[in-house]
This record gives sequence, C-alpha cells and structure tokens, in this order.
Amino acid sequence: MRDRSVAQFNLRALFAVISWIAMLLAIAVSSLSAWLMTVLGFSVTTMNCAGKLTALQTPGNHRRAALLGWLLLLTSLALPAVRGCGNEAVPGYRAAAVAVLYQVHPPVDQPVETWAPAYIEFSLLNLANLLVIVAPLFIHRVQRGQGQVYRGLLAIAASAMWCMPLSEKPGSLLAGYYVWCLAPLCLLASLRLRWWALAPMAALAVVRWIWLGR
Amino acid sequence: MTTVPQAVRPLSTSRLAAKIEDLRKQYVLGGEVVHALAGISLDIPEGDYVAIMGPSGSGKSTLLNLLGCLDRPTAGNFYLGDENAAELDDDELSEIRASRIGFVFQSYNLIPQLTVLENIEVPLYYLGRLTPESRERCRELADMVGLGDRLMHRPMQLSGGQQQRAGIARSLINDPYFILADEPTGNLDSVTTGEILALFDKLNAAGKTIIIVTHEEDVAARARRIVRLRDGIIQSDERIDRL
Repeated sequence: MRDRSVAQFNLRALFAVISWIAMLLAIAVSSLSAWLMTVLGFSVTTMNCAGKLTALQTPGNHRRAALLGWLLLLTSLALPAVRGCGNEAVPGYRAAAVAVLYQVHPPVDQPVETWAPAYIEFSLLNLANLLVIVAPLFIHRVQRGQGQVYRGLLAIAASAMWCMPLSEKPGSLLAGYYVWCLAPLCLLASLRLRWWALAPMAALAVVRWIWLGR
Repeated sequence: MTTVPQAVRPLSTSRLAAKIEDLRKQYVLGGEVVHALAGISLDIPEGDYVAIMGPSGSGKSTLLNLLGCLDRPTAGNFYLGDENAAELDDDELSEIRASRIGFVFQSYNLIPQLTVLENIEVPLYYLGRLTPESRERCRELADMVGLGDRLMHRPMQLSGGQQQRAGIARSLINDPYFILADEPTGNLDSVTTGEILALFDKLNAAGKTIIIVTHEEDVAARARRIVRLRDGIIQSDERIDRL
C-alpha cells in the first residue's frame, strides 16, 4: 500500500532502533566527542524546523512518540546516568532526585548570582522531565495545530539536556543520560516546530558555554 | 625526613576502621578462573594511614573496589565498623558507600554547575540529608582544606589542586570510617602533589584514617604503613616510623 508511509513504524521496532542508537551514542560519546549529543539534538531540531520530518509528524505518531518518551524516561531512571562522588555509576533516578532537591532547596543563603544559573539549569532539566510526562495531555492540542508554547518549552528544556556533555569530562555521563536525552528528542521529532524555537535553544547553549567557561 | 620500615604493629587505638579476613575474589575470564585476590587479611586501625602498592595485575584495583564497596568478594569477610560488608546486598552496599566511605579519585568528579560549597554538599543531596547545619559543616571543611576563600567558585575556575581539595572536603562531609584515595595525585604536578599530600598528613594527624592506592613510591612514603600486593596476596606489610 503506497499510503503506508515510512512514518508508520511498528512501535517495538522504533523502540529497538532508538535503544540501539542510544547505546551506540553512549559508546561513541564516551570515547570520541562530547559534542555528539548536542549536535544530534540540534540537528534533528533544525531538520524539524525545516519541515524535513513531516512524514513522522502524523496523529498516530504523536501518541506513539508520547508513549515512547515515557518508556525512554522510565528506562533512563533505571540505568546508570552519571559518575558519582565515589566514581560509582549513579542511577538516573538518584541523579534526577538531586536536580529536584536543588530546585526545592536552593542555597538561598548564598549570593543569588552564584546559584541562580545552576538553579535555572536544573529547573530546565526538571521541566523537560515534566513536559515528557505530561505529553499525552497536550497531544490533542498539538493535533489541532495548537500547543506552540508546549513545543517551544520542550525544545528549550531539551537543549539544556543536550548541552550537558559540553561541561562534563568524557566518560562521566553514562548510558542512562543518553537514553534520557532521547525521550524529548523523539517527542520533538513528532511535533512540528517553528523556526523561532531554535533561537532560544541556541542562546541557551551559548550562554551556558560562556557561563561554564568553555 | 628519615623513614625506617618496621614489622607491622597496630596503632595505639584498639578500634578498627576496617578489618579484612581472608578476602578472596575470583573472576572467570575466557573460561579460566582468575584469582584476583587469593586470601588477604588486613586490620586497619582508626587513625592509620595506609598506602597500598603493587604492580599491574597484583589485585590492587580489586582490593580498592572491595574496600570501596563497589564490588563484593567471592569469599572472606570485610568489616566496616560492626557490619560485614561482604554479606550486604546492593542497596545496603550503596548506602554504606555513600554514607561511610570518603572517596578521593584522580578525576575529581565535581559537578561543573555547582560552586565549591555546593559540591562539598553533594553527598548529602544523594542521601537526602540536607540540614541547615550541613552548610556550616561544608564551610568548615572548605576552610580546613584551604578553600575558604573559594567557596563561590565553580570547578572551572579552580586549579587541579584546588579541585582535588574540594574533592577531599567532599569526601569528609559524612564523617566517613576512612578516606579511600585512588591515585589522588595522578593528574597533578609535583608542587601540587606535595600540597595534597601535606593535606592528607594534616587530616591523618587530626585522626582521619586514610587508605591511599598508588604506584608512586614518594607518595606511599608519606603514609605510616605500606602494604604491597603481588599476585593477589600481600607480599609485605611495613609500618614506617618517621624519625
């Protein structure tokens, strides 16, 4: 059937492909370049803005991507995500808890300029998780051509995730991190983005680059 | 300073920071059993300063992983305080690791977004034990390692030696049974290495138990005791008296 486009993936196959890509990325990034996740995220977003992913952006795939986003997020919580203080692998759920704790208990006794940047970054990471979790609630709005704010926020929050390797030492981010990054990536790939979404993403990446001194 | 090796004798304290009894670890590689540790017994009294040395393949890394509760032995006992770590499950080991062992590594593993003060506090985030007093304790530790004037700096704004100092302060936040340092000066120049070793001397003089894994003789010479491994067993165990 000619109408059966390549966009209509079998969900299991899609999950398998993305898991394989995540594993390959983890191996590649740990031994090659910290830029890979950033480049992948921004490349897919740029293709999206340019309308190159419209074949993927069908109503059926919105729902599948939301489900896949959940699966990837849950998987990432169970996988080792970062190296801890003792060089041990810290699972994603503990790393996520640190980000939440920092947001709940910011060091307000310190000068605001010392903790506000980290606070904003951790808030964006938490926001990305929240937006992936609530994705099904926004799908119907997206299908009516609305939900631009949701898409824009998701893109900005996801870029904070994708830029993390730029300030980390090679090997300090583990498989769980890459699986986690793919959750908003697959969701965003299924949602049509406008060009304006790229501007705050790029600005965030540049500001972060300057802030962390690289 | 002249050092004289002597047969090992316990420190005056009767309490042990760690006690190892006939610890064994086997791996199966390519169908062949490799005895990484072939029966090691070691008492580490509180306040001791032990350097563990040995050539590649001697079992040094395996012992480090067992001491750090990163791995479980095939046989034998490993007591941390009153608990036998060899019998604990993964969650309990993780809890012990996070709360009772202070790690110092060649790679400092500081979180780049956080300040020195916040990085020292990170183990408490992982344990969910943040209290108003903990911030004051972090300040004291930062002062102790000479970073009192760098509290608001981020890791990128610190030298390698300063980052390692922050790592050492972080290792002390939970008042651990011992500090486990794996090649802590491996990334540092000779001057900074001297500073970090002086800091370890200072901590040990204050009563902290330190276990340092190194392949550098001059680093090991700063310890009170040198344990040399070879082929998975203890080849020698010498106490150094500084005259």
